[in-house]
Formats: sequence, C-alpha cells, structure tokens
Amino acid sequence: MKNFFTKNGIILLTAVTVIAVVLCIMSAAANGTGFVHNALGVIASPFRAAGGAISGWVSGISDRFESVESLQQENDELRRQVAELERQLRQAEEHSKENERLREAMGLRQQRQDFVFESATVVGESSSNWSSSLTLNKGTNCDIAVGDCVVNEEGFLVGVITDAGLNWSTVTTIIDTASQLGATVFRTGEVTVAQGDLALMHEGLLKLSYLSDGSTLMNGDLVLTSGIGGYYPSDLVIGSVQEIRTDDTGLTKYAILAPQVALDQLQQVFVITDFQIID
Amino acid sequence: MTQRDLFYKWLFYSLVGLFWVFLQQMVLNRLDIWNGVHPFVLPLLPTIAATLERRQESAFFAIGAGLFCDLLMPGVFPCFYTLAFLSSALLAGLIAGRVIMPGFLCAFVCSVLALVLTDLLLMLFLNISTDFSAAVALSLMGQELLLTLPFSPLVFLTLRKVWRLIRNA
Repeated sequence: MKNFFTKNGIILLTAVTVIAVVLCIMSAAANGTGFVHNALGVIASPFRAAGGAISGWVSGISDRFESVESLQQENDELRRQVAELERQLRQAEEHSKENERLREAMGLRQQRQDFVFESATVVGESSSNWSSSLTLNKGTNCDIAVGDCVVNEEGFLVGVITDAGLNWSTVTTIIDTASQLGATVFRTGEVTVAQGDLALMHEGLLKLSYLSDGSTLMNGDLVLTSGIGGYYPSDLVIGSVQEIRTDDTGLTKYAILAPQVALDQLQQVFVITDFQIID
Repeated sequence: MTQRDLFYKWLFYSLVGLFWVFLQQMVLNRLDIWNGVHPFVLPLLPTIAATLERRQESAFFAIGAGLFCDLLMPGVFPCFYTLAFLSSALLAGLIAGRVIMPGFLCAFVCSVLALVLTDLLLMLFLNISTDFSAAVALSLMGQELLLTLPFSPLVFLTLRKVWRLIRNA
C-alpha cells in the first residue's frame, strides 16, 4: 500500500480533522465525565501508574546525586523553620485559648472548619505548554468528585478536580487558564478573583484580578480562598503577591501571584472530599 | 517484505518513539529555556515516520503513538493525542512525495505543520472553554515552534536509522 496516502489521504485527513474539531467542541461544552471518557481512564490507569512509578524512580535517582552540602544547608534551614513554627504554635495555642475564653464571655458559638481528606498519588502530568494538569490514582470510588479542592501535605492549594472517573481523576492546577477561584487577601480582607493566565502559566504564576481602586495590596501579601458561595472551602493558601501591575488600558490593577506549592515536584496530594464550616 | 520484517520494523520505530516519550517526560518537560516554555517533540514522531514510510502502517503507528500518549498523560480532551497525531501523519503522508521529495526538508516542513495543527486544535479548545488573548496564544505557538524545531533533525536521524536498518537488512 505504497500509494495509501495519495489515494485516501485527503478523505481520511478531512474525516479525522472533523472528528477532532467536533470532539474538541463537545469536550469544551460538556459538564462532568462521560461514560466513554471514564472507561478510557479506567483502562489507562495501570499504564499511568506504571508511568508514574518510573518517573518517581528516575526522580529518586537524580535526588540521590544532590550534594551533601546543599542537603546540609537545607537541613539547617528546616531546623530553623521548625524552631520558628514551634514558637508560632505556642503563641497560637495561647491565642486559641484566649479566643475561646472571649467567645464564651461574649456568648458566641465556636467557629471551625472540618475537612475530610483523601490522599492520592500523582501518576501523570500534562506535557503540553497549553495546560497544567495532573492525573491522580483515585476517583469516584474514593468519594472524589468534580469540584473538590486538592492540597499538598502543608495544606497549600494545588488545584481543583475537573474530571473524575472510577479510579482516576484529573486536577486542573491553580495556574491553568481554566482555573478561577474566589480569593481573599489575608492582611486586608479584600475579596478578589485568582485566575490562571496563559501568559503567566509557564512561569508557574497566576493572576489576581478585579482589585478595587483603593486596594492597598503589597508584595508578599498572602492570598487565600474566600469560600464565598460555599463551593470551595475558605482559608486555603493560594499564594503570595509577587508584583502589582496595571493592565493595558491603564485603568485597572491586577497582581501576579506566586503559588505556595511547587507544582512540578508533587508526588502525593490530598483531596478535600467534604468540608463543613461551623460558625 | 515479510510479515516478520514488518513486525520488527514497527517494533524498532516504537522503541525509538518510546525513547522520545521518555525524554519528553523526564527531561524536556523540566527544561525552562524561554519563559518556562519547553520543547514538545511528541507530534514530530508519527509525522516524520509518515514522511519516511508513506504507507498505511504509518497511519496505524500514529494512532498507536497517540493512544499511548492519551493513556499516559492527561490531554485537553479525550483522544486528543490520537487525533492530533493521526491528522499530522496523514498530512505528512500527503505532502511527502506529492509536494516535497521525502528527506530532511520534507520532515522539517511536516514537523512545522504538525506542531501548528496540534496548537490550532488546542487554541480552538481554549477559545471555547476560557478567555485568552490571541496574541499571547500565537506568541506561545511561536515559542514552542522555535524550541521544538531544533529537535527535528535528531528525531529525523533516529527514525531514519531504523528506516535504513530495515531497508538494508
């Protein structure tokens, strides 16, 4: 069949392009995970697990070659951080007790957030320059659903589940262009929107839009999820302000956010499958 | 060519493909050359194989390579890599011999077209699902092209090695 392409090429190319465009439109317009998509994901899960294991093994080998000097430096830094965190914890315990006493004295009810976590392993990551997503080895069989927030072991926001099959799920990370979250600035309480941007995604950054005219945002300000609407839990750390810019029209300001989590080094994450805010 | 030769030929092409997938996942994805954009060599594999072979099997090879990538990595929509690779291979098969004589120049031109085709499909998806600036998208496409094309001679040489090995066997 040496002349295969000459005879059938144009018809086949047209057919494949039409199928690709139709699937693309259907997929962009669809909500949730369809049966075929779910089934393909289930078939793919052992391959992804194997790929993830090989990737982890190779990363493990390269980690072993890290110099003793840099590890020593990291160890010293971590010791310093532990000491600082212990001091903060003691202080927080005192504040918590004081808060409890004052609430009791003023007759206010206790306020807390309860999260239900499901740990999952990252078995795949997007290779494309156009998206930033991860595949996890757990899905609807572990109560993971579309819209669940994903955090790392420190509780920093990684992204949101956008696709969930029986034993797999896809996380769209916070820097992806499809990502959009209600956010609040920890220091000022200003409510804004954190969203992915195609121009910033490759640098591992995202955008904080809709800043008010009188915004007093500063570099280094911590940005958390606002939890407004109850769709996502509040107070999950998204990132910190790196730079404040004015848009092309010169009328509105936006900030560049650096995520707190190293998205390219994730191996284990935690999915918040349920949360309850008790006011 | 016997069935056995055919099997070995496509097995060797698959092994070369596997090497490049491994290189993409382990090395190229982690490169931060130009504002965090990295080379994306995967569409080049079925395209260059199609320019060398120009047979029905190269379309199946493109489907296989696409399915493998779809199973391994999250794409923007189901079967994204399968469809993108197959259309790139079909386009390359049409161009090779008809428009440009098969060889490095043909492989290079087809690589450019394959990357553009893949990126246009991605742009279409993004255009429907999110807001983005066309200038930013075109700039990203340009960056990706400029970073990936230097790898096309290497992909071409590795695949041509298989092609020559089988032809001379």
